[in-house]
Amino acid sequence: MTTSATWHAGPDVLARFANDPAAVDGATAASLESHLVACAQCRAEVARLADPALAVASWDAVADRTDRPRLSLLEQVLQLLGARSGLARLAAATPGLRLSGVTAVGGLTAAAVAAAYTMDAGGPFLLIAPLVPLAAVALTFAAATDPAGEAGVATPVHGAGLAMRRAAAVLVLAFAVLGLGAVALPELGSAPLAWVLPAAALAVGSLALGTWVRLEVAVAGLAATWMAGVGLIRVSEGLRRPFDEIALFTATGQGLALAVTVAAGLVLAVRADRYATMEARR
Amino acid sequence: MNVTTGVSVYGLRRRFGATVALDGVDATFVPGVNGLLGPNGAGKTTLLRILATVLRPDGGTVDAFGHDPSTAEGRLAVRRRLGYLPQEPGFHRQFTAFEFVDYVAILKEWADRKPRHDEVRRVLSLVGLEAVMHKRIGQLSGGMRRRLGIAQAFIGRPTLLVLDEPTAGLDPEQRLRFRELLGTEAAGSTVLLSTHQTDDVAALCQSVVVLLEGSVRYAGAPGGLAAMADGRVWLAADRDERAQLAWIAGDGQVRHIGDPPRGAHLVEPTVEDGYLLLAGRTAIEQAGAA
Repeated sequence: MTTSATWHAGPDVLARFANDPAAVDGATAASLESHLVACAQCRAEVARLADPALAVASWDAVADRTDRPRLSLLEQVLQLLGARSGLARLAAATPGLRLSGVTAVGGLTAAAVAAAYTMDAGGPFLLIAPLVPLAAVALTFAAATDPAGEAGVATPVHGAGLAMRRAAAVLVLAFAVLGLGAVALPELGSAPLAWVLPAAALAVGSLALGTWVRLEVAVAGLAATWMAGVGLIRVSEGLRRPFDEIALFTATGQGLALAVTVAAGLVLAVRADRYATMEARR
Repeated sequence: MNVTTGVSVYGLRRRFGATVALDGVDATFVPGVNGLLGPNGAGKTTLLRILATVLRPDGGTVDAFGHDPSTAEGRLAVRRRLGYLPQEPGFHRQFTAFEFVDYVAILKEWADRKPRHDEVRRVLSLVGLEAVMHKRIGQLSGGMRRRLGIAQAFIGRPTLLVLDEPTAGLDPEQRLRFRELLGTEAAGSTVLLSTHQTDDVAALCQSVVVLLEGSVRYAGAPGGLAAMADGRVWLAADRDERAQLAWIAGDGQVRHIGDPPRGAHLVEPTVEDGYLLLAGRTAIEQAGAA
């Protein structure tokens, strides 16, 4: 390729082009652009005439455009709704709200619905549904899923407030997905909402217990307790009894679940500050 | 010392089950680079985690620039001036280098996108990662990931830098660049830096604290630590069993630390000699007590 040219652009045209390419007509601009590729002398002249601040600003704009991180769907929606980029990113980085988290919640709910359909009874849904919010909590606060790890803990925004807002967001999502699942299940009969309070008790209970022990341990312990407790009650009350009539899903059981939820909420109100450090994650 | 200009800890204690990680640590860290030396399990990381507000002590107090991080207000005030490099940052490998630092910047209250992205580019270029800023963290080498951790610690020019083994995994050239970086970017800041590299301490630190078994065994200038081995380091052609520690040096001679035999050829001690003498003596004391 040759780098020489047989003509050179006039200094007034070059000066106008250097500081604002739109200041020359389209044909001249196109001609100049192709000429500058081949002419080192005119390129040097453009560099001399161009306002350095303009060049820096142009480069900044290009860098800003190319460096902008990819936006997740949730982030795009939140920004469309007016959320600032930082807030939208914080929400979208919540593990329980990322695609993997939503898929896990949706998958577990679908499994519960499918099991209920297959067995033509609401029992499997009532057994599995309370574990779904528990899984969402585990996903959100497990050390392994944290987007910034320990470095993120030592920052001003990381605190009990962020942790509780994230917990609330993932629980709203989990309960909404479960609600859709329950609507699709006529098998739940007279107790279509019997899973709500046990689910709330387990989720809030795990967050409260997580202020003393590692959250994964709290979640695993409560999940095991739930499964074992339901199994024992089933056996003691007779396996032929319809699932939604066992004590856990009657007024007594619902009252107990409400009491546990309230008590765990009070504990959390007092001890939520433990989520500001690593204590709830190790 | 005026507590508002640095960081002090008094009677700091922390246990993990039956293991005592910190056993009544008193120390003061003044503006400048403060080194923290000690073998694995000495309590260095626990101390740095407490100073970085990610872990709470079981007892004792911390004063960071006049703030008490055991309260929510004090913790927030400390975090607003803090840059922290953990020993294991725990990167989310699906993030690109840019996205990770951008995310930490958001957590550091850089809400507006444009200035935040400018800052992200600045700290990534400080550690020489601008060419790979759009690569996923999972594709970066160990040394690059270490530099990425260092980059996020420098967001916002913090006045308190807590760096847990920042030079681990860096090659000699990168270690040199890191030293330069501390000299330029952290001038005037209070830097706490744990390391196993005594030459880093000699080259960088104005003061050094040696932790052994969760207790402070030395606090002072690196020169003072080296001076502890004055008259205790000698070279010989063969290993001498009177030495507490001995190893073959690069010139083929055996470097000994301990009480020298009569007529030994004494040499100028280094920070490493002083540190090894201190750590070795403790090991001997522990063996004697058992």
